[in-house]
Amino acid sequence: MRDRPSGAELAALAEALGEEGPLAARCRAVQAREHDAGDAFAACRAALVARYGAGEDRFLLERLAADIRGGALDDGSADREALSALLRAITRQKLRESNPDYLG
Amino acid sequence: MPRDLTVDRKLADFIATRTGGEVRALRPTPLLKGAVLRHWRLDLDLRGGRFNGSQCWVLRADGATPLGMGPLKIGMARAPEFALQRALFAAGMAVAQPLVMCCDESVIGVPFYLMRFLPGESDGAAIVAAGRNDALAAALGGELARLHALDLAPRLRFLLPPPADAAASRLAELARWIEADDDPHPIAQWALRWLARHQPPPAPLVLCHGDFRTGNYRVAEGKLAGVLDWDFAGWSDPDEDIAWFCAKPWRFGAKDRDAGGIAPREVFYRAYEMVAGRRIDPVRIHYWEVMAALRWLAIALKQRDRYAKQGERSLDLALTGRRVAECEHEILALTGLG
Repeated sequence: MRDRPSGAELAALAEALGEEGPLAARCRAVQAREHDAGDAFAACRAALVARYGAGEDRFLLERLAADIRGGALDDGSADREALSALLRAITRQKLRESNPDYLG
Repeated sequence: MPRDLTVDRKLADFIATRTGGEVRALRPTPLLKGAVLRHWRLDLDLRGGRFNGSQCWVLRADGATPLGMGPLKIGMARAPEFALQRALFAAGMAVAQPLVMCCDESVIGVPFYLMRFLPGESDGAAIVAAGRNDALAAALGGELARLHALDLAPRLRFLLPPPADAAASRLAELARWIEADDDPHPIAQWALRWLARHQPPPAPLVLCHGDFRTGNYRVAEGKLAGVLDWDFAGWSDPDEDIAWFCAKPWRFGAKDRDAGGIAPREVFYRAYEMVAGRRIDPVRIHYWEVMAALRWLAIALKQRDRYAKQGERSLDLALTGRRVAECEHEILALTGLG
């Protein structure tokens, strides 16, 4: 569910570059927040599995994207409320890990 | 341009040849400005020629990696950008005076051009941190309206041809970028669908900056010193520039100052309207703000790929990949799903 690069990759890059400034601190903070969050996307994943069946995150998100292209989020769609709640939940969790200040 | 005496010598020789003067000092200093291109300030001491005396210039050159690859590469090359900036300067726009273009890659390794240094600050966060500045927002609104009113088409044939419909064209471009990404992006797909279904009637096309935002202009003593970074310029709907300026990422956290983080949007709008002689339609701006959120999402993916695929080991580029969620949050909010 998370965007790339992962927190671990960001922190490793900062270390490899020998950087200690604010950007390096942000990389380490993302890694720490991801670690603390654990599998915070479990509920979102479960909702997607219930809809599409078991699969990797990539498969589940591809199916969701295809449904949205087909109108599943449009006004009047029976799935609109459930899917928009799911998208909000995924997005907010990504922000909690990447940039919690954005959520104010 | 690494700090390399050989490169410095070649650059000095180039400047001497093109200006007819002797370069007694070059003094290049890297500038932080620019997410894609690279910049150096040159504090020159020239003797003779057409720029005799002390000169403060900026060297603007291609970055280590481009934004996007192959047919999906974004932004114009230095030579057309130089020509555009020269046309804008001649038209009286607030831009740095372009001085010399160099397409010879043997000089510093990439094409570049030289222009006069503009005093002041261009860091977006610093400009916003200085507080509300209605006069600056009004100056920017007026400047943007003057840009949109320019009739330079005969001199700008090197730009990409005008699209038949700016929104449809931008939408098709962003769809290509999103589809080309390795990861699925459900919210980007939603934005594409929403934008296709809410497309406004086409407006007359004008010359647009393409990245008109806080961070891409220079402020000296609280006043507009000049507009920078013309590499995304092209023919588009004028509302695209207005919406981009007001888009959330360019407010740098000043959430109550929609116009670039420096003023309420009404201040910017009124100044634009005064010069342009037309009313801004909030519905159209809302549409283009959704487009702006999607465009920034797509650019963030491409910035990430400069790290992930093109080998530029930069924390800033890598972290930009994690800003996609900010764009997704904004898309949901603007389309009534937030």
